[in-house]
Amino acid sequence: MFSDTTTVWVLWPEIALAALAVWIYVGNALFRPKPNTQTRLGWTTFAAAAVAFAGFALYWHQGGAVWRQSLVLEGHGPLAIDYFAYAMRTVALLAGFLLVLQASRAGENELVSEYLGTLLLAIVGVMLTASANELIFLFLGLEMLSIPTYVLLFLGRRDGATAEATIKYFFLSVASSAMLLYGFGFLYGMAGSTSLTEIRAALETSSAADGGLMTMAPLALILVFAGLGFRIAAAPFHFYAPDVYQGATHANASLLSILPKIAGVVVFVRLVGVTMPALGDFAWQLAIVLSILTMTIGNVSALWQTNLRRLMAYSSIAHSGYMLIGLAVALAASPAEAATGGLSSVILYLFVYVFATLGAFAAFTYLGAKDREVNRIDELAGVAKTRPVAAAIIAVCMFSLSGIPPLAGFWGKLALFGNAIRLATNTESATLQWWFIVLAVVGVLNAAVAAAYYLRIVGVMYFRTADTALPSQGGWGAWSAAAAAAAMVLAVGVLPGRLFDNAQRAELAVKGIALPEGLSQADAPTSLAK
Amino acid sequence: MVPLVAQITVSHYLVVGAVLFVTGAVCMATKRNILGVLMGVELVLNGANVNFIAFGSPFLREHHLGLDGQLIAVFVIVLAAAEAAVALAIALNFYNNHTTIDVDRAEDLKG
Amino acid sequence: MATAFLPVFLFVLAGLATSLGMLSMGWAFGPARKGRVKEMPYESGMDPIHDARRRFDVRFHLVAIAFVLFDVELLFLYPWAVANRHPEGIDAAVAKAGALNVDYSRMLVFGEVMVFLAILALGFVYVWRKGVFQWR
Repeated sequence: MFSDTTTVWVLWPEIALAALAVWIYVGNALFRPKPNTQTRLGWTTFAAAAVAFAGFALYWHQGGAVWRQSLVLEGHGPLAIDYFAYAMRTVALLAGFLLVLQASRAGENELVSEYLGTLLLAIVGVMLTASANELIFLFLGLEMLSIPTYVLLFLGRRDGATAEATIKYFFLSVASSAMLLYGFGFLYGMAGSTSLTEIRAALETSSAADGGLMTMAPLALILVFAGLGFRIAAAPFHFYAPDVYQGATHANASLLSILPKIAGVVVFVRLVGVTMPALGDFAWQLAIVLSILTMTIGNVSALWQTNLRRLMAYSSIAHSGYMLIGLAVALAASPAEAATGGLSSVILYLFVYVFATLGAFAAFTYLGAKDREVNRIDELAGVAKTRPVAAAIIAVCMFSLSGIPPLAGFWGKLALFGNAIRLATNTESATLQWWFIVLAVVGVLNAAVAAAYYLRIVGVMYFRTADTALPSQGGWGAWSAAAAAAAMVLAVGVLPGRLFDNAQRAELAVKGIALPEGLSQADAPTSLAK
Repeated sequence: MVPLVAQITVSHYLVVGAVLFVTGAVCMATKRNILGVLMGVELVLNGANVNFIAFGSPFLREHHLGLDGQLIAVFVIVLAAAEAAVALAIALNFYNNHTTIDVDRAEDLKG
Repeated sequence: MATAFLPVFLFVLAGLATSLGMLSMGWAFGPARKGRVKEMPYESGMDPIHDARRRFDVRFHLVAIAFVLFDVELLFLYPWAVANRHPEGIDAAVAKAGALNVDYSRMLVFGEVMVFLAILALGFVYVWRKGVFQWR
């Protein structure tokens, strides 16, 4: 119950990163009141180094023990110190590093320190969310992500579209936070504690049938779904995404499609998937309905988009729908304690999604210029001739997002659909069988539909010729971020075993199960993807 | 004890919280002025605050939850102030571009 | 009984001394210029008599936002101030932590509050360097 010195020690990477972010603000205000291009380069390097330093701090400090074992250190108040938290913090830092690189030429010189400092604070928000095991810590982590995001969206941009996108995102985000908070209030009231461990225990010992306070559990679940559904852009809270992405730059759109998604999925896994399976049928049915709605709306609407960022927004919505499949599996599986593969497939898919999306957006940033973004899909025509490497990066990311076999996205989809079918075949209950077969079928159909619009982008790049070449002035930072993300997608595609293994360890850790003996790299993929 | 006071229970506070929540939600949905929407947000947050404090009340359950609920309310108040600061900046930015703070005018991005 | 009220008396005295001291220092050392504008009733530099629907200068917003943020952040000091000497406050928590063998001390709490104040001060430095307090 105490935030003692251990807490400070465990949160050392976050604290260091936040301090360095504050230094970017204050240091720039003190010594470089009139930033120029050199200052921008300097601060970008500084920010990238700060993220890298936080990464090394995360790996090398006391938490190194967490890397090797599945679970250590119980009961440190508001913190969850397990492999899942560490893995998600690492993903946040990796994505954050690439986002900093990608933003190396985005925005104005005058506001470079504000942009980078705010970006680092948003990354800290994701990391704090990943380590939270307590309602208020969780909520503050999410807000630590949201508030910098609002600022980043309109920082230094004066056009009407940006103003409109910001205002839409801000009000919907604040409304969803308020709903989430209201739901947290009910959870606190039911359990009499803000600790997620104690909430889980309270939900398990008394069911809704007991009457009294526990009757509020479904209400709390709905409010939590509403609040988190906004973060990951799941239906029916997805409608902001296309407008906001369209009004943002590519750099900001990639930030919007990645950081809130990581945070939202992390909270979904820890708060809904692990803490609330005791709610019974209602929970997984809600997850399935939302999943089917989200992926169908996302994929079908994406088909006739001509604006690149709108298309990516619908793609982001669709991928949230896929991730909810894994959540539904985790909620429906019984007993809740066992490793059912539901959560690990969500974690796997999140990783795969984050890097494929980041690679695509970074490549789009590279192809555009500060004043002339690549807005329409048609503008990509002929990129394969003029910028073959960027075109190849985009193609790899698009193939991965659509789930074509040798790439990372295929393994993600295989794990998700495979687990849904495995649950359906292993269960006695006819209802469960029916629901999950339907879910898997809808998922596979959606993946087929999705291939159409992803492949359209690749087709435009490779089989059409353009009259004018794109400016390609996004900078080497964006180029290397795109290349690194694409390399990651390729590597995971070729050697998925390592990632499957880590995702499974994360699932076991977040559920508090000790790692079984003999879980090795080799047998992890088969045991999960069967 | 005065009978009038004795009859007020934790559930009455929850009703106040729910009323604040619904009022705020309706305000957010119907107001066209940005600042009006922001007031709705504050109402919803404060509805949640009232709930937290009521659930932390020593009259609700035998074992005492301490000051957790009230501390949460303090955090939320500070958060609401930070959000209001950002909201004013966003509203100014919107005003500079659209010369109004009517949210219904935010309709350029559609398709 | 008389000694019981001594702190209150001292408090009143100190309050009076502070306020009178501030006023007299301002009177003694401040520049005393006279003019038509200077002798108007004070309303943040605006014309005190005007239409109610008049627009405010946007620079008021900047100062107001900065004020609200610092004002509300200070709210966090109240729990600390109350818990400091309260019988169920920090001392009790430290004792409880000691029983659980958790590394927790009054120094840690004090350090946390000081770090918090330092962060606020940094925010102040940032706002100051960005020229929010200058009426350009």
